[in-house]
Amino acid sequence: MSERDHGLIEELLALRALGGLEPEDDATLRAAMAAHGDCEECRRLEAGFEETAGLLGFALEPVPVREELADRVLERARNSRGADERRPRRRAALVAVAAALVIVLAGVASLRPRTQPIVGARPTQEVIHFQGDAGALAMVYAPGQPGALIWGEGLPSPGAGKTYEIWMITGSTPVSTGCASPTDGELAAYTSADVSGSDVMAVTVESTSCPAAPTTQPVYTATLV
Amino acid sequence: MPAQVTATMPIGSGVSRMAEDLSAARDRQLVRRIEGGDEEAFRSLFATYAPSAMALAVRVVRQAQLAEEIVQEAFLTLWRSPGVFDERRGSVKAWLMTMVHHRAVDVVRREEAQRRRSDEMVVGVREEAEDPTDAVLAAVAAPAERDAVRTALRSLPPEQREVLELMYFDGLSQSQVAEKTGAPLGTVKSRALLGMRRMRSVVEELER
Repeated sequence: MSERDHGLIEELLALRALGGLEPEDDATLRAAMAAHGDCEECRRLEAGFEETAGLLGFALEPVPVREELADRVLERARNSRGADERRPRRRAALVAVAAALVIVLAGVASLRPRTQPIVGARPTQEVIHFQGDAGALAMVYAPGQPGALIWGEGLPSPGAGKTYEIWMITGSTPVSTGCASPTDGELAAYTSADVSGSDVMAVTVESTSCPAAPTTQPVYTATLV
Repeated sequence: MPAQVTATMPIGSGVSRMAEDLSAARDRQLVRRIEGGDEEAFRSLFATYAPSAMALAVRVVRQAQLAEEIVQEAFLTLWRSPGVFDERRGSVKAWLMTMVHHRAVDVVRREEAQRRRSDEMVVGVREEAEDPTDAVLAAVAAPAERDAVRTALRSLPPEQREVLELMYFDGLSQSQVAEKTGAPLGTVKSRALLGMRRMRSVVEELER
C-alpha cells in the first residue's frame, strides 16, 4: 500500500477537473504526479474527478439542438477528407518530401550498398494523413520497423509555453513519441518508435514539459491502416 | 414455454441504477460501432447527449453560435477518434461532456470572452438556467441522474457550491474565483476540493 501523501495531487486534480487550474499549479500537478510514477491512487483520483466533473453538466436543463447538426458534423468529416483529396499537389509534395527523408534515414540506418536500388524500400512504406482543423500533417513509416517521420505545413503555433506532443494510441492507451513545435508553420520530426502496432496517432497541445499522459484533447488524429 | 418475468423489483433506486447501467453499456456499444464507421450509432449518441452538451457549452461561453461550434467539434472528435475513449476512466457521457467543457473553457480563456459577455440571454436558454441548481425541477421525465446531480449540488454548503459553479459553469479560474468571491486563494482551493469530494461520493453512489 502506498504511504505517499496524495493531498496536493487530489486538490489540484479537483481544480483541473473543474477547469479552474492555472498554469503554475498545472505544472506543479504534473511534477507531483510524475514524482509518484506509476501511481494507482493518482489514476483513481483523476478518473473519479473527471467523471464527476463530466456529470456536473447534466445538472443543466438540456438545450434543444437543431436536428441537422449531426448531419453537419458528419458532413464536416467528409469534407475534410474531400479537402485532403482536393489538395493533391500539396499532399504529393508533402508525401514526396517525407518519403524521401524516410528513404534517406533508412539508407543511413541500414548502410545499404550504393548499388542496391533504394527504390526497393518504398513498397513497404505507409503514408497516413492526420485529420485536423488547420494545415496538413502526414506521417511516413515502415510497418513492423521502428522509425517514423512526421511532417507538417501550415500548422498553427501551439502557443507560448506550449508544444505539440505526438501520441501512439493502442486500444485506449496513449504512449508519447515525443514533442515538437513547428517553425513558421512547418514541422519535421523523426521518432525511433515503432508506430505500426498503433491503432491511432494523435497530436495534442501540451506544456513544454512534454507530459507522460495527454492533458488535452487531440488537435490532429490519424487512423493507421 | 418462455420464461415469465415477474415485476417484483420495487420502483426506485434499483430500477434507476439498472437503467443507468443499461444506458452506460449501450453508450459503450455505440462507441464501438462508431469505431467501425457506423453513422447511425453516431446519430444515436448525438441525439442523446447533444442537448446536454449544448446546454453546457452555452452556459460557459454564453454565445449560441459559438456553443454550437464547440458541440460540433466535440462530436467530430468522437466520430474521428472514438478509440481515444477509455472506458476504464469513466463513462461515455462524462467523456463527451468533458470534451465540451474543456473546449468551452479554452474559448473563454483564449478570447477573454468573460469580459465581453453580453448580459442578454441567448435564444433558447431559459433564465432559470443561470443557476443550475434552480433549474426546472418540474421536468418529470428528467433522468434520475440529473435529479441526483442537482440534489447533490444543492446539498453542498453555499460557499462550496458557489466555487464549483463559478469554475465549472462560468469558466473562471481559481484566481478569478478568489477575486470574485473575495476569499483567499487557498480557501477557494479547499472549497473546490471539498465540494468535488462530496459530488464524487454521489457519483460513486450512483454507479454502485
